[in-house]
Amino acid sequence: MSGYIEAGYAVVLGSLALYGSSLLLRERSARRRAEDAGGAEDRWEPPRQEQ
Amino acid sequence: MTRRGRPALALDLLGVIGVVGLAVTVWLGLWVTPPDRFMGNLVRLLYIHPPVAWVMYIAYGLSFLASVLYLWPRTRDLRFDRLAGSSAEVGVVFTGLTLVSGSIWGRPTWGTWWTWDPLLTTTALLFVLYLGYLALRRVPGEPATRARRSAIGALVAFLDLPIVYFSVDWWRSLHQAPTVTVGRTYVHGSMAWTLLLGFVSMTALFFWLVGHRYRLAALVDAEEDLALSAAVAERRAEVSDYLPDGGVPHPADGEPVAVAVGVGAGTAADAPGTGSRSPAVAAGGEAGLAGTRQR
Repeated sequence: MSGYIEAGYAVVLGSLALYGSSLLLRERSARRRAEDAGGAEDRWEPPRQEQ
Repeated sequence: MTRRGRPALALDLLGVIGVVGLAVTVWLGLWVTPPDRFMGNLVRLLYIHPPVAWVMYIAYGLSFLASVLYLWPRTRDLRFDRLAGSSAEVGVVFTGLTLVSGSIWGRPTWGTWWTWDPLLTTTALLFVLYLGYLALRRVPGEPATRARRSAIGALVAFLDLPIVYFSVDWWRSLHQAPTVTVGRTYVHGSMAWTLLLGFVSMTALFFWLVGHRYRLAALVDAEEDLALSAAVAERRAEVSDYLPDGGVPHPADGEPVAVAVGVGAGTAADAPGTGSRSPAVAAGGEAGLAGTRQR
């Protein structure tokens, strides 16, 4: 197979894996900080903000 | 063990569908499907490039919809602003990948990494427009103001999306027309099924990424709210230390001392014995604290 094909797959899948992993790590870190600050539970929504 | 709600489980399910589906797509695309009569093995990039481009449309469409819902007074909610930002950020990642994977495909097919073709040019413009939108979201400001201007920015950036889609019809383009449109397809058999799986997997992965990006934004917002509350409480404590009588107007200038520290809403009013505070100073204190918010 041409090297272009492997390169295309590697770039797309590698970038998505990298971005997804960074999101998970940042979320885990933010959740840990929230738990340290106020014992946040695993919930979908934060308290609604006033506008 | 933490309690996990239905949305979290649904998000996990989307992630599993996306990852497993992509793995199967790669296997089918690289080793099972036949080469094309004209393009040979290069056709295998078909199973990854159009699905990535498709997600770009979904991402900006969702961002547009959420921005409209935020701007509409009856549905105005900061959660829509958060959703618009999350979807646009993931969309920018997919747009970048569309450009790069297209370029990798274009080199052996067209003989060049890049050409100023209408579709490529308008897609590059779309990428830059949404980068600008993400930069706009980071400009400090009061949350509602920032959300409003971001929503307007999203609507402006979205104007380019139909131009991208119809550019292959409107202008003479080197790029081919869409491989799959409603009721029409140029691929068949195992190639069609693999392409369909690629679309489904990439869409599931997109929603999984948006879900996590949204949760991250929600956590950061909650964290900033906590920090703001802590800062206000700290200022209150400082004022109490200086003024054992709780903020009685200073005899020298007649102004409430609590006003001078510029704390947020309710601080001066809550202090026992405090007189009325200047609305302008109070507003300045709120704006100053709110202005530190960034996502």
